[in-house]
Amino acid sequence: MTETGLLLAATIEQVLNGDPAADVGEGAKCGPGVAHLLNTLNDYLALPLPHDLRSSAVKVTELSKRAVGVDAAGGEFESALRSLRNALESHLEQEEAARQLADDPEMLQEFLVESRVHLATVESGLLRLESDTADVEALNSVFRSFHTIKGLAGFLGAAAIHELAHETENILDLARSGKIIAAPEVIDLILRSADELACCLDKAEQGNVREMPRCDLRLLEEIGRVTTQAASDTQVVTWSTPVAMDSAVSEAQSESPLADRSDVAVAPPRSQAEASVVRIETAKLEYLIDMVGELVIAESVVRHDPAILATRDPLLSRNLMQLGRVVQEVQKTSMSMRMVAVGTLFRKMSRLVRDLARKSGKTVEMVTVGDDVELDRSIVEDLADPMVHMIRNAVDHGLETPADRIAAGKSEKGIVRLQAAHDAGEIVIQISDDGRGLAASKILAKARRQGLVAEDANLDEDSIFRLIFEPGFSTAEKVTDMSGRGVGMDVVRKQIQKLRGHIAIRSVVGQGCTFVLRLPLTLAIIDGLVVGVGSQRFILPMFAVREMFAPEPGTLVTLENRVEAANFRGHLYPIVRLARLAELGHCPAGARAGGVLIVVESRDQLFCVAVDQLIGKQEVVIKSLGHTFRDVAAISGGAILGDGRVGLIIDVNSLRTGRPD
Amino acid sequence: MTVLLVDDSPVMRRFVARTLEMTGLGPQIHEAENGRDGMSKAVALVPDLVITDLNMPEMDGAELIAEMQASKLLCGIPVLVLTADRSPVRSEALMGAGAAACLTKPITPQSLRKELLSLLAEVDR
Repeated sequence: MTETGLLLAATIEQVLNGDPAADVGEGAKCGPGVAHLLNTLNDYLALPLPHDLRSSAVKVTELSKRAVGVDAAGGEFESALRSLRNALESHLEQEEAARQLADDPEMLQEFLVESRVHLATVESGLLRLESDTADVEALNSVFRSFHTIKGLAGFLGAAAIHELAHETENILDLARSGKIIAAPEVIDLILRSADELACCLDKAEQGNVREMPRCDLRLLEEIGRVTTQAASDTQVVTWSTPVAMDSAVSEAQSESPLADRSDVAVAPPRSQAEASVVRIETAKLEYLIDMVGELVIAESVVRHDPAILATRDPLLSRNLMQLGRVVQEVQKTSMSMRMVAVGTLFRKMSRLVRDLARKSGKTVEMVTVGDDVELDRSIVEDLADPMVHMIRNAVDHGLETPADRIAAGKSEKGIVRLQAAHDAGEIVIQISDDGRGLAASKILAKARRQGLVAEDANLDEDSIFRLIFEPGFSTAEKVTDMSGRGVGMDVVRKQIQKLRGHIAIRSVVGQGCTFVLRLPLTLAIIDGLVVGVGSQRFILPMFAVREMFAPEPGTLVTLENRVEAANFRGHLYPIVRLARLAELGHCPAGARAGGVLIVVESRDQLFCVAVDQLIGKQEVVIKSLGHTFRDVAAISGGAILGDGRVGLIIDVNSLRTGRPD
Repeated sequence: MTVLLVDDSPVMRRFVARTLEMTGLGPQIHEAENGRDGMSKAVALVPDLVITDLNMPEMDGAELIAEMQASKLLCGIPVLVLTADRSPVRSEALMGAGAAACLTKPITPQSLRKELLSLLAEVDR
């Protein structure tokens, strides 16, 4: 900007001095230098400029156009030109001063972090405002956020960000003084502006904040139109949607409002508590947690050392106990550092629900329960995609149109409910809608058409619902722009299973549909059942274990002379022998009756795992087996057990197939 | 010299603090995050200068100025207002209410520095 600014300043000087050297081409007809001035001004106006400077330059442009053919040095023109020169001079000076401050990468980082926190506030504030246009506190908080971003951007000389924040603030100011009603269209516009600002902040991270190009011009234009219209009208206007709106919305959406911000603060951003939050690089945190895992193992190995076990020294025993307590506390704390409230995820979804509802012409309210339930950060991150998909399904296919709802005797407003709760060491997340529910007969008919089930298969309702998780199944009769993008519920299930979670559906026709997700609290620790096969130790994840029993002589049967199965409580379960899988070469026929059978569940199917003995239940810290053993079937990782031995963790899903998932 | 910065944006406080440090007058800087916080810190510190934002949650800058004016202890302290309100009417009203100077945004390091130097020179005297 500086170069063009300097050029402009020089041109202004020439025009004011009536210097004929500035006379270029057609300028001869319109007074010395004016054509040249117009050219330079055009270049200059393409740059992001502070508001005052821009209006000053626009005024000069208008006047100089009028000046064409007449005496260019007319009084009004000259004074406008002089004031532009003054504004330009002080601007260039300020730019230089801002450069010093903005060049400090630390200041820039702080600016980015704070601005992002403000944008999050903006989003939730706008959604509140939309549900209640009279919510003055929400309006004020959104206004303040834009105001602060604008102030900070101005200070850093980030003109592009400053300009957009300023324009948006104008709308909000008009809304505060009651000249604009916060209609959904207006809120849309402000949301888009927040999205654009978020993009600008991302760009600013990579480049120079002062030399960024102007923000989305169409957006600026639209905002300008709204503000001038509202400011000139004496009556309160509810602004109507221009035609170009819809395409712009979908464009903004394709840039994904959920695009992940690479550096997530450890704690959820809360403006008041902000001062006491420290930002840590994720890699460092992961390393710390890894090392704490090692510490736990080392402590356990020491405690189980024969020399220690044999000691009769009471002081040593007491000190070891103290060490154990401290280590446990350290482990608990380090695990909690990975935890984030699920509410941040829910809040992102509220934006999605809103956009989907507006696109589909439905009235939808999102209700969240249990926002403060905490989950492992990586689970929350990986949960976003499946959640988006399920919510799209709920709004697009689950909820009826307002007319259909009224006809069905329901309230016009559909409800999407997100609920999180703790349950027996797991997190349960429910995504429900009060729409039309799943029609079992339709699903079955479709599955038959697609050959997913045999024509004569007799399935209960639960099994029918589970069909929608089959690859290639989609219940949507018409594929809308939002859902049905080729990603089916099978992908959702896969993603949930990758998180060691479980997904189930409950639905009542006419009353709605609920997806129930059960997820572990963390991916770093697993509650395992330690079993022995020969001298080896294996760990079965507790979440897959349903029951276990010692088989009696009559329990084991062989089907078709090849498949071993157990007949237990009237069910026939196929048997997988860990010994055979691990090629331990130990599976004497006589051992058939001995050992223990463990009933495990994988993809809704039950089967038995045969082991020699049960050793116990233990929380283990999962260790990756590294690159070399990545593809070993049925083993998902390793863990060091309390006695210092290594146990391999069984991947139940690939245990039966013998293939990695 | 003691300066109290009142602004709800921590980054803005940092910016202003940095600019203050660059004046070379070595001021002692204290921060408050809204008018209410500012008022209680002003009473405790009795600073030589208060720099405040206008638009803040809980208690805004105008209220802070009014409360300071109403206090015998604090009414003599110059207040510099940083505001994005470019309306001259508002600035005049604030000046009438006791603000020593009003700096309208876009506030830049340069404009702030200029204003600060002149105010600090006054305070020093």
